[in-house]
Amino acid sequence: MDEDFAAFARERQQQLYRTAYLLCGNRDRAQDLVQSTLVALLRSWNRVRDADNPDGYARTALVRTFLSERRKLRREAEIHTLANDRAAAHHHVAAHDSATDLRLTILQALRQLPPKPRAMVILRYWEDLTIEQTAAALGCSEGNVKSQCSRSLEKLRTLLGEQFTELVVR
Amino acid sequence: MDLHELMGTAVADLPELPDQLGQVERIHHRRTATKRASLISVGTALVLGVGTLTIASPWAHQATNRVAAGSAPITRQQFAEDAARILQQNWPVSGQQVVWKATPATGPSSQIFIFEVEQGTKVVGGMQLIFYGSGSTTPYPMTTLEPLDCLNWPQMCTADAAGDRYVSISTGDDAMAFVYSGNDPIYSLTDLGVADLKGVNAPSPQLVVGGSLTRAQMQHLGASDGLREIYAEAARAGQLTGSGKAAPTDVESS
Repeated sequence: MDEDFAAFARERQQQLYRTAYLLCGNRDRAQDLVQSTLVALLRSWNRVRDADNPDGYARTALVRTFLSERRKLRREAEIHTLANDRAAAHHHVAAHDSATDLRLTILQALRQLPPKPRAMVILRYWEDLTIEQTAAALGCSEGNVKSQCSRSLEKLRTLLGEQFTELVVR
Repeated sequence: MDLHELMGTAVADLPELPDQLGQVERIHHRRTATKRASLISVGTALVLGVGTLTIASPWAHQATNRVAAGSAPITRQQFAEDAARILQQNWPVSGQQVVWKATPATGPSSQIFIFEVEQGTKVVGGMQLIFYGSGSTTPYPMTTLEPLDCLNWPQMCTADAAGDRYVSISTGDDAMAFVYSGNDPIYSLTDLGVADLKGVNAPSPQLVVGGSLTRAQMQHLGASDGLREIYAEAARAGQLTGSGKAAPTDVESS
């Protein structure tokens, strides 16, 4: 394996994992997404290495892999659900603390968004991409990103309730 | 707490991901081997119906505005006329003519071939073969079968063309295939068994269209498992019956 790729992958895989987890809300699936993304990057490594923004390339590959697998997810009838994560979290966390509740509440709220708008929100507000970069990553128009993000934020405010009135768009 | 911080909270307790490199390398090697094997049968064919049209990357010949068919360069017009002839030979509805239309304005390296399906004086459908790329990105070929109101792609299809479904298959950076509904991909594959586009000799994508191909025929034509699934999905979506063509044959997914 190319040493440059190995270094790149080792440096980025944790961040990709976190983003993947926000996208799908499940650890096992997030790991699969990262793996698929890295395989895609390795396959095109010559181009990725020479690209102006390899990180952007990796993010794009990740979200597109996520979106491409969503149909498959439906067929699998959501075998792994957040309920599993909730149970696991409760199992591992001795005290049912507010941080755990908060984490699960956020993940559940994100899952209420359709996959593509969810990916937009995560790229915009987690990865801090610009509207232009988000549109490029998802292959859609900037207007689409703006309108979808606006609707998604409104929905998130509703879902997250009054305790998150400090929700601020960056 | 802003949204970035909220999402940071959501991933704060996430355990560290085990190093994926070993597994990634194994998968990559396995797929490379599979791809190499499949390319023996796939070659550089663009399969249209039961006909085979071989093309290569047109942007490799931008200076002369020529595309390559097999090993011998031909003009765009010759390519388009050959494609129209093959489409016509395999068109499932008698009385309809496949006609190459003038190429619309394209980018510096995009090549778009538009065909209309006519019945008498009425245009009943259309099809595009798109080889898309730009000077700032790695070009990739995209072959698209579209409903009539997407003929002005991408202007029409970037709007929500509700209910319209079309198939696009691309190789290159992402090696993906999609079945779209409007602007929304509803089905896609990330591993088509076709090679990445890396140069003049790279294989072109395959697209199987037509109203009555059987699974066995598709296998005979060298269509990959992924393409067979796409074909089945397109058939289910009614795409293969667009433009008033024959009833679809729902090909069983492999």
